[in-house]
Amino acid sequence: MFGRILFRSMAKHKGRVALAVVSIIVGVSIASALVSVSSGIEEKIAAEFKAYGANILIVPKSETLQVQIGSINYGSVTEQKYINESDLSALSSLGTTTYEGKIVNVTDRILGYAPYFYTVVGIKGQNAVFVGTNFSSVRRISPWWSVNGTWANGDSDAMIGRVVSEKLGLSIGDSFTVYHNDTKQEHSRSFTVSGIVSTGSSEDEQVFANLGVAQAIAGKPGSISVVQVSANCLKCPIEVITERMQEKLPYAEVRSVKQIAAAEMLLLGKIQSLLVLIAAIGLAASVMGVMSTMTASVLERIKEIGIMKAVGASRKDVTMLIGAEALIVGAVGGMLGYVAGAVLASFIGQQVFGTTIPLNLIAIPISGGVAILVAIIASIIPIRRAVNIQPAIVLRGE
Amino acid sequence: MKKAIEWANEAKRAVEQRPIITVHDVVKKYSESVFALNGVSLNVKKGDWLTIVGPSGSGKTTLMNMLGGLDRPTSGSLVVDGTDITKLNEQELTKFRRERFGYIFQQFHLVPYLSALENAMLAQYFKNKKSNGQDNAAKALETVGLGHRLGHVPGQLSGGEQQRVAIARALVNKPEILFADEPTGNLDQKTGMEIMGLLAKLNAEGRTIVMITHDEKIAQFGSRMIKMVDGKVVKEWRKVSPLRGL
Repeated sequence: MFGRILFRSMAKHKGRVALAVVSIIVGVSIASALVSVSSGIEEKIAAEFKAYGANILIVPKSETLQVQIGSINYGSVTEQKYINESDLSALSSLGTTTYEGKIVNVTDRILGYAPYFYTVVGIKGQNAVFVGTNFSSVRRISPWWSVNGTWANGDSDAMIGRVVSEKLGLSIGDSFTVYHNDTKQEHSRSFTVSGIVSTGSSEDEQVFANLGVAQAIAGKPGSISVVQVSANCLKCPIEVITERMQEKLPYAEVRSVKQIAAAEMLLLGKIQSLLVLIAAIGLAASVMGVMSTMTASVLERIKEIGIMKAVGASRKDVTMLIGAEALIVGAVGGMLGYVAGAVLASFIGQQVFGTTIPLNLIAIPISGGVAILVAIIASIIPIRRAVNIQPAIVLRGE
Repeated sequence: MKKAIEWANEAKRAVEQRPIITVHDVVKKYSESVFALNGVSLNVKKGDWLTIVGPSGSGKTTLMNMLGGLDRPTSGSLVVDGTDITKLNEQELTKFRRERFGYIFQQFHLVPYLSALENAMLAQYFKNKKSNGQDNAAKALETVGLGHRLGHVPGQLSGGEQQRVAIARALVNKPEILFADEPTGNLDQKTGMEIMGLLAKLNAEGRTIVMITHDEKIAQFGSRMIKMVDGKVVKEWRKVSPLRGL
């Protein structure tokens, strides 16, 4: 009998029931879409963070010697040291570690790294900082580099900074010869300018060529001055990654660029707060929608409820009827809301991140639970109104 | 032996004469100066058919709602079969009401989306959820002559048929007291008389009836009549031979 009363009542007032279901769908789809988006795009956000630049630097440990003769101190001399290029393969096999009881795959956290070798050369009778690097790596971890022309490709290609270009009067397609100052042997080599680099930073005053070529000019094959690493440290502190790197490269110094790491964490926190806020607003709107619809439904059925109370329905009976309706509305709205949320998540993924958001199964119970919770919260006031209906007043037609 | 039978008959008469409803100085006021009932006292004996008459706004419906436990008085006592229902909490009053009372309204007050059978089952369902109640409800509908209209919803029934469904619903829990508020008010004369015939039959079977009416002819069915004016009982009659079964 309960089922008959419930379903016949819902069928009679199907317009209002449909409105309540739509309200739930709106709230739940927003919430479930944001759950899917926030979990599905973590890697994408991490990739976006590459634009912030490297957040880890690996430099050789330098030893400073105090030069003192008798009581006179002649200052300090820093011995130039390098990282062995062959040791960088260790960055691809950092293995796993544990953080807060969870296993973290540190290797997977490395988004990319770029080795740099610095030396000073003479070009057109002037000194210039000559940098050897791996251009494909630089493009991956420093996407903000603005290059007029093309990126250097072959060993005779070079890219020059904007300031160097102005200072030496070199343009794209021009050739120049590099003389190395530090070696007794005269290493010289000719290059053609493939592109002009503009970053607004020190790169504007440097000349870039392939890593091996720069090492050969300086007579330091296999030597690396500094390695810039871009790591995804969204779920663990960056120190977890730097400690593991330090273990692999004990003779080098692994430094985290706190400013960048902190900015990434701050931005991630803001994104998450924004997602939570939008979800909360969506759910609050949903609660209001369901509440107003169910209140209107109770007012529409005030006579029926009055009749039921007059013929013996208790407060519990009335609560069960309205509550069961709310649960059905919540369950149906939750299921449809999940489907709508998956579509919405996919749309957001395509529009914002240019990628598909995988279906997140955890969103199913979350959607269902949230929908039922929304329906229960939204039905509290209507139920209170319904149980307080006075049959004598209602049946009098007041 | 003869004496024993006399004693038994006397005892039976005494029980029958015992008031099933005792109203003492009941007041219902909506504000300091607006009284719906102003010190009403009366008794209703078991098996009585009390008819309440009076002009609109005289407090008839308010009194019946008080007697039927649908409303609470501001002061005074309402004792039904030994229980002062003004002292019951809402839950107890609801239980008392569904076990002891049946209601028939002028507007029928059926649930529009339930069939005649389901409407009749409603009161029994709220009384005992474990019981199916379908057989009792069908029997009650047959009693009121609607055995052939069980599956029809109120919108498919005439006014007289709807009122019969309401009577079946009122009867399904076998209540001791039936409250009828203008039961023929929305019916034509012929159908009205058929409904009154049904009520007369129920009263003859021993049910106590409290009925409100404006219609003098209908009022004649009662065994006792009170007239209300401005929230007070101003006149009372008891019929020697009530017109029943017309």
